[in-house]
Amino acid sequence: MKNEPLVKKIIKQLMKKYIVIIVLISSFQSVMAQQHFTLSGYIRDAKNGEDLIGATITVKELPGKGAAANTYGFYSLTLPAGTYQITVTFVGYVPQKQTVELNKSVKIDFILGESVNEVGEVVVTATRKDENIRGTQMGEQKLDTREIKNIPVFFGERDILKTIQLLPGIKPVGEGSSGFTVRGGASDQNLVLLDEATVYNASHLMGFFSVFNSDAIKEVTVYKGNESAEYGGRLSSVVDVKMNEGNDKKIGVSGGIGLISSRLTVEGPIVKNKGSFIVSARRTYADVITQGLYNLHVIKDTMVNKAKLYFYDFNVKANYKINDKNRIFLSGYFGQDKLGFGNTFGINWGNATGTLRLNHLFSDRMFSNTSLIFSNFDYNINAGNSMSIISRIQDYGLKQDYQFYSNDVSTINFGFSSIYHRIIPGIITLNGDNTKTLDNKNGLENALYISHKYTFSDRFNTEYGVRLCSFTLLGPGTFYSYDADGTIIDSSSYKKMQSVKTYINIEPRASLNYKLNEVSSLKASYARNTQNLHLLSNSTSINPRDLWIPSSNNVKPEIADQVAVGYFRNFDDNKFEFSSEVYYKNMQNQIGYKNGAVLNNNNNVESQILFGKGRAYGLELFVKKKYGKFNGWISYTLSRTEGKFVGVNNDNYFPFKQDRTHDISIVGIYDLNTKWTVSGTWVYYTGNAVTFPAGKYMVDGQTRYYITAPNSNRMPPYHRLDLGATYIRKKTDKFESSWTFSIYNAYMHDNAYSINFQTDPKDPTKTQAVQTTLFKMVPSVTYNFKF
Amino acid sequence: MKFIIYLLVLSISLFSCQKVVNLKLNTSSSQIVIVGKISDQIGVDTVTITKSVNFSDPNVFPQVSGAKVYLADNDGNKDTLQELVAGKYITKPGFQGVIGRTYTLTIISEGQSYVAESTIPKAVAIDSVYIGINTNGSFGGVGRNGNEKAINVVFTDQANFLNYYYLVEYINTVEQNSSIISDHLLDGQSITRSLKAKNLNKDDTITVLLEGIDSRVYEYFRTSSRANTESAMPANPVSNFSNKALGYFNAYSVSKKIIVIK
Repeated sequence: MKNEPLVKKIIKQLMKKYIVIIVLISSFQSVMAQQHFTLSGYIRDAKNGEDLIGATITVKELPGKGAAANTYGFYSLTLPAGTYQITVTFVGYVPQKQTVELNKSVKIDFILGESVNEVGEVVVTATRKDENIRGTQMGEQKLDTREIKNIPVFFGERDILKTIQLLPGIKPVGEGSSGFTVRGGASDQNLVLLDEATVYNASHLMGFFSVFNSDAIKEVTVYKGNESAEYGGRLSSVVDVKMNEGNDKKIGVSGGIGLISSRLTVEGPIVKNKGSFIVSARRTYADVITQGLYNLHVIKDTMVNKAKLYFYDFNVKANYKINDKNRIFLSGYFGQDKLGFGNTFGINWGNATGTLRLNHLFSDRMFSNTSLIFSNFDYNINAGNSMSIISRIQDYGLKQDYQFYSNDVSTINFGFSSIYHRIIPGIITLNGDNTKTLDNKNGLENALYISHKYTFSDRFNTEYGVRLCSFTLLGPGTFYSYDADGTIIDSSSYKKMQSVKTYINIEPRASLNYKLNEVSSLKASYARNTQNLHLLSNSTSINPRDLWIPSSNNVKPEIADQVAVGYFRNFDDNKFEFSSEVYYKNMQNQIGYKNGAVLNNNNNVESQILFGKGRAYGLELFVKKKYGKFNGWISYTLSRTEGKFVGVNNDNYFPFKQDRTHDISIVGIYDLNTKWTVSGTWVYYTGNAVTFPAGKYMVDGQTRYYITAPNSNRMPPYHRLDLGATYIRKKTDKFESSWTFSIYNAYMHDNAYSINFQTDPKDPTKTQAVQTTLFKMVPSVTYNFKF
Repeated sequence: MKFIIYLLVLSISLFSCQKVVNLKLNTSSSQIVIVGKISDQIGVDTVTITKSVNFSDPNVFPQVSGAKVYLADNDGNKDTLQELVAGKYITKPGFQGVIGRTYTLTIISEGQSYVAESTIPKAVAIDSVYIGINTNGSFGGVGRNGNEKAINVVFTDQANFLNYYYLVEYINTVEQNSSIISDHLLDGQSITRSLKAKNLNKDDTITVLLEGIDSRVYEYFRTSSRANTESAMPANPVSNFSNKALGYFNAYSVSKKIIVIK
């Protein structure tokens, strides 16, 4: 196959369509009435100059019209000429009112100050009190790091990926894990972005910590499969994590010292009010403690003494306003996990990401962002001198986004992205000299999108769009085809950059909101998502050795179609927010594993997998009390997720391991007084779908277990109460310090981490099931400071 | 990896615990289990036929009596195995498998027939067995300590041929540990494997058997490991028997080396 021109053809086609879109938009502009003017500018924090993402502007005279600040704090609102009373609101900030005479287009930057209640705590209010009723977006959950700071923590570390698991439809993969699944999808079907760069493995230390240092993180938004056309690449969700910009007013230092980890953050202006930086670092020292205990003869196991086990990470970000129209941002992350036993075995792994962004204002109604994105995940295994394995996945990307605020009822987002993926599955060195390299895989993922937000009336608004994706597997290399048994039936060689296989997918997305009255609305949405990078993971825990593979001649893109409808209602002057959503998701080209699939160190790994389909459906209920001395939420999910693969379970549907019928989370935070805040969370969920023995038999003197239907058993139900307390020791403008206390699993429930089957050591004629509990109870304390 | 997680937890919290639990498990109808082994050594080879029981039952596995057991090879030789004791069927005395031949084992029991094929591969000689430092690292599961003593077995793989091995160690006739080896990535090379060397005394006899097995038997051993039954999509081991019989039929070659501890 001679495919090189095909890539060019596709790019050309994409470009053509792109031009059509631009022409379309310019025509929008020309039909606009003459007497409209634009109010635009930025919304920022008074204290540190941070952009207030999602801050809203409402117009008293035109209820229902308004705008929200984008990711960079920019807003634009085009209104008929006139005099308006503008109100700017943002979560936890004092609303600001201003009268604006709009007889020409004006630029106004709003600077909001944090609101403080009588107990000296930041008041956490909604972005706009009734945003959930007005917006079209469904299946979206947004968390500000300030919002979660009082939630009980595990091992003294606030962790945004663990907090999102307390929300409906988002579930942990296991005990204490930062890994999660969304609406029945597999854990690799979540796109985790840190300032636009993909984070391929978002966990440290086998998942007990996430890679996100909460000191460096501003907010996280989770889209549960109904994201707008701007996002794409994974089936189940997008977790969009945004880093802080840093204080552009003054130098600040903050940090925390905990039992097993410490953090330090330095931020400050580069040029006052024009640019700032933030550097945040973190390291765990469990190994230092175990070493100490060993020296004190508390631990006698030499194995523990030799164990090396820690991680560290850095977040760095800088931004600079070149002028009124241009601003640049540079953000980066680097983290490493190190695990080893003496000189015999070691594994290091980590992510590195970098994003260089340029914001440009073409006009007061046309905002643009250009990003250059780099992402890397690698691991390195050493087994003494006998073996070493190096593996890596890298992304080089360009993303261009435009936001066109066409008029007061219409906003158009459009743009493209292009990512070159480079996967090095493994360079294996045996006995120091014999090197074998598994075939590298290269792919080019292009996307072109447009989405339109349109308000028909005060009652009815919509956002719809389409994303056109192409994925091309590129040479060089030899690519194989396999029969059903996994035997090679054909192979062909390709040159560098030569196209091996191209897939093009059109992903339509739409959501509608119909406001029933001032306090309630009905929403509906549909979205198609496709995925061209697939994680092969046949273990039940998070493992850095899990392998990413691209779509290929054997592996088709995964496709999911999700429909959801929801009823949203606010109570008691928007103090309580209630939402209920039902969803149904159909998944094609899902990946399963053949019996005994060999996924590591296998050049023909594509011969080891099965393809099937999946379906997931559920009900999500959520009640949140947003402000007052007591706040928190209750979330409940009823769901099912199943797969169907030829040759598995007699070709019938069976539950995926992440299937959980019930899932409940309760979060409560109470401000006792100016000094103390107490909090608690309680979670309950149905155990994972697992396969237990249905019988046993003897082979060569050993008892073996016979299994029948896969995943037809359940782990015992999981439940746990965590308690937390924050004591503010000192709080002045110059210096703040506080203590955070947490108890994980406060009533010491024996939750099953794993269940193994074995011969009863006391009575060899019997067999027994043995449950392992990881954490009986974990208390922790952290000292935090800021000056 | 699970081991690493346990260690992680042990080192940071010391809070983990284990307990015996009662679970409601699925039941299953009794399945036939056939284990047939023939080698290139002179002797009596056996086929055992038993049945599976439910998990909650005692470890008493019913023997299957009265089955017809036939052994044939691709050279036209045929033999009917005799039932020695209930569920245990033996070849004629002096039976010896021939390297390169494919053997077919047919069992007819309770109106059902079960068939498996296995080929005896070429025997690969053991070059040496010596007491030395463990070379496996933690991958072999023998030791996590860099300077632990081990019994090292060295052999040279047959080049340009897909070899599969079953390596087993006896200390004074007591079976210790066994492992399976594939020459994937190691074709034609000198291979060293370390075996357990705990509690060795002077005059102990160490016997190491390196058995050549065929690919399907290797697949059976590989997929009967615990990791496979605990995976995301678990399944029973891949048997070379037809008709969903559990167990395997292994026709293998043997290389042997004996050393005595001085």
